[in-house]
Amino acid sequence: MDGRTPPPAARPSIGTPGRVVTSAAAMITLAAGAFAVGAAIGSDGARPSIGQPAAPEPADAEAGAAQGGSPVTEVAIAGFEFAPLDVTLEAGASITWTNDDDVVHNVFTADGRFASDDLRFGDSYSVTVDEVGTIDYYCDIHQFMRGTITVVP
Amino acid sequence: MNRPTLLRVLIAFGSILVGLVHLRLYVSTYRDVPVEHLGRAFVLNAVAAGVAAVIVLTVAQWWAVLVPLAVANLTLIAFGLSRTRFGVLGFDERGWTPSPDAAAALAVEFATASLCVVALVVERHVSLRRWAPS
Repeated sequence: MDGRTPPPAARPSIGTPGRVVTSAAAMITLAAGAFAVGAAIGSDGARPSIGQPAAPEPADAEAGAAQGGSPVTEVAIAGFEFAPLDVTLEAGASITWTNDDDVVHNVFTADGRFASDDLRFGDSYSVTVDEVGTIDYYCDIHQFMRGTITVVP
Repeated sequence: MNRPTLLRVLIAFGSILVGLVHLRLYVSTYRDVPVEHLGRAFVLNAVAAGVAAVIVLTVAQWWAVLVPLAVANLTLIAFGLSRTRFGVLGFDERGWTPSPDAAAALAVEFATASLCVVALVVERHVSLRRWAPS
């Protein structure tokens, strides 16, 4: 010892983290990271697991946005809402949903009448409604998002 | 007052980034979600990340590193759960949306947690060397 004190550079931590704590911290971090990445990859583009229609979509229900001069109604998906919430259409008319949110949404009916793919920002989905009646639909990812189509003759 | 180590400064910076990303996600996206407590959870995360940054900078004890580590890892787990059918607070999300915020949040959280682990290893090594019999 020469009696000199080294200048205080970086502050040393007080106490000693144990080997078990250090190892556990490393393992938990790796596991949490792997879980988060795996869950994100696994859910990317996944089809819904709850409320998925059992029947295939009716072939005549799918349509392009514009079809034979039928009136087209636009529904925006924005702020985790369908806008407008309730739509009234004449039979044979088309309805188009466009996702304006930067999270993925989709459009589903519980009875399997139609089911869109996952819609990313800017994506659209259209159907033609032929049967008179009321159609309740929802986003299967965020099931609090619901809307209604009333089809009149 | 001695200055904290560079590693602890980086951890604090990462922790603040974690909080800022979640604050941005709340303002830009999730405050509209009509799921009880979801928006508050994003704000709470930002506050916790800020507190963790202050603690790791001001508390010299080794356990201070565990605070940002816990915040980062719990946030990673919440991110993962939100991509499963269990969801978080009854809310679930798909893939990497909102993009690019979701991926950025995950990267910053994992980097911060990893820095905490490195800090624990370094502080353990330094501490053991300091007290080792010469």
